[in-house]
Amino acid sequence: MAARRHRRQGGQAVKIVVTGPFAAGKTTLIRTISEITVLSTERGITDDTRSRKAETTVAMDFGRITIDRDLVLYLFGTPGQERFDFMWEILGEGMLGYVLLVDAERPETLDEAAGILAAFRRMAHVPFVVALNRTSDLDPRAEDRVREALELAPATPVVACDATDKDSVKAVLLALLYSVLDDIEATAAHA
Amino acid sequence: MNLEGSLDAFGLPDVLTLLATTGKTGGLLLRRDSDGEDALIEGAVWFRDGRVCGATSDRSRASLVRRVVGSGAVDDNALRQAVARAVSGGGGVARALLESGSVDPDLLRQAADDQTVDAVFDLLRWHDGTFVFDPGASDPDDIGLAIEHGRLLAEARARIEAWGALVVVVPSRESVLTVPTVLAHDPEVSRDEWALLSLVDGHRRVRDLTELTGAGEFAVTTILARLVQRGLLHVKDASAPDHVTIVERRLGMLASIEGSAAVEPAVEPAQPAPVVEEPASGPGALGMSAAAALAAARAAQGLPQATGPGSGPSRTPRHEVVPPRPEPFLPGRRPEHPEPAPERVAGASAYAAAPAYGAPSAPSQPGSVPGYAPMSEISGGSVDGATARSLAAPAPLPAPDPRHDATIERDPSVNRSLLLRLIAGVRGL
Repeated sequence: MAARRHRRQGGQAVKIVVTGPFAAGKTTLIRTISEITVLSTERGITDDTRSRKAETTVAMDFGRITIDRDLVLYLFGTPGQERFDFMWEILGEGMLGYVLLVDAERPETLDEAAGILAAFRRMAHVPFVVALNRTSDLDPRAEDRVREALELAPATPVVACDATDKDSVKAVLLALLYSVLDDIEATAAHA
Repeated sequence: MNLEGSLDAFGLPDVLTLLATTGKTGGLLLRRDSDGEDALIEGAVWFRDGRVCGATSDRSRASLVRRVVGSGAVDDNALRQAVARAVSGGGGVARALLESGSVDPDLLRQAADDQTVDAVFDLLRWHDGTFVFDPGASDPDDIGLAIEHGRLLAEARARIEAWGALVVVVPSRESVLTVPTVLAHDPEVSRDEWALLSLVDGHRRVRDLTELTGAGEFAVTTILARLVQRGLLHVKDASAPDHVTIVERRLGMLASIEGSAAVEPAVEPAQPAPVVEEPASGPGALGMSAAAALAAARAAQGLPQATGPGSGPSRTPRHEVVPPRPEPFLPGRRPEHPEPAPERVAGASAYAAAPAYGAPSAPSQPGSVPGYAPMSEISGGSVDGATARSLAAPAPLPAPDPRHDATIERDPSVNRSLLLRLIAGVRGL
């Protein structure tokens, strides 16, 4: 798919997508770092997933970080439920990379995360990072478990994350940005 | 939670980006208090599957059909029938014109594209107000446009950047312009400029000219500013005497040596008027006689010719300095074969409605981004013909979306420098 950046007043906007299983903390992560009120089109949950949280994102989350006068970083959060996976490709168009957010306290969601990651890998050839939410320090055993479940390459970053903490979210974004930078430099070196 | 909020908290570009990115269909309805009036202004941007299919900055007006009427592309009968059809059927007049075959579809499409960019240009200048997205709302004048929101925003923003330079020359919508009676050089104007020049009468305000042409405030102000900069129009200063008064006052000074009564001023100066120097544009500078200049001035301003002794104009053949007015904004001539346009006309076509109709889009400049006005032409502050045309002319439509044939790749234009800026920016949060 042709990548597309959004030009704004002589500058440009780039996009990062935050994806992950239902209730992984995607909305929280975006709200923590975004400078604008996040537009969450949330609805009450009526199915058996209600036990996890009362509302869920049925459309998307949308955040913005103004880098400088000419550069804006948009954050798009995908809906966490499978029936909204038609949104993923729309949201992914033109993205710089994506964050796969996983709730470290719910390893049972790793299968769901693996399915999402497989879909994103099929859809997009862009760098990504895996962020383990609700962890302050990365437990090597937890990391190994995640790497195995998600079949991650050694070079794919897995980082600890507290979606409620701004510095932690910054670290996740920086991990992704450095991955993109590495990718660019590797591509340049190859050429 | 519905998608709604206030524009001071959540900017229109972000909302448009959100709706476009999520492939929404419906109407983004915007509302704000009218400046200085006890009324509300309502605007709207309509989406179909994430593409913008129309916009207006004032829903109370049929902006698109006004533009079509201003172009002279529709006659009374067709318009009357379209209005009746719209009233009875609930649709828009422009769509009724299209469906009845009363208007050239290409012309209407061009007008709708320009109208949409103009509307977003207006809406981006709203600094307050509220918005709400209604998935059930649709554009009554939807004629099938599908504008990519990135191009729309880029064009509207380019106009905003250019706007600062324009308002230095033409200060406001309330400004009144006048045609100078004598010029330093032979005038050279494009058809678009002429069409607008012919409507300037020393009384109409910029907003009146915009209303008359339906061409949008940006296009009208761009052309007016260009004409002012070339000395073909003056922004009227209510405190200064007009040219006729100045000439008559000076002729009056000759009365003592000519032994005849001075010409009575057409406009009575209540007190000694300030002397307004008109370098290089005075009659003497052109080698014209004062009498001929006065005759020309009177003719240009529609005043009766003086008949008293010493009033030379009565004996001088009267030359029209302003030819008969053409119908404003007729569609541009369509040559049967490609041909290079005259420089003046080609470079001056800021009007959305005139030569751009049915004409091929301006070719992209080397290195420019297809669909975007070259920013380098705008940032300099002056708005030349090429810039105006690039702003008003239709940008090439984006290529068909190949999303079903390929996967998402990293944007090749995202480079190391951009990444370093992003990293520094995120670090600094």
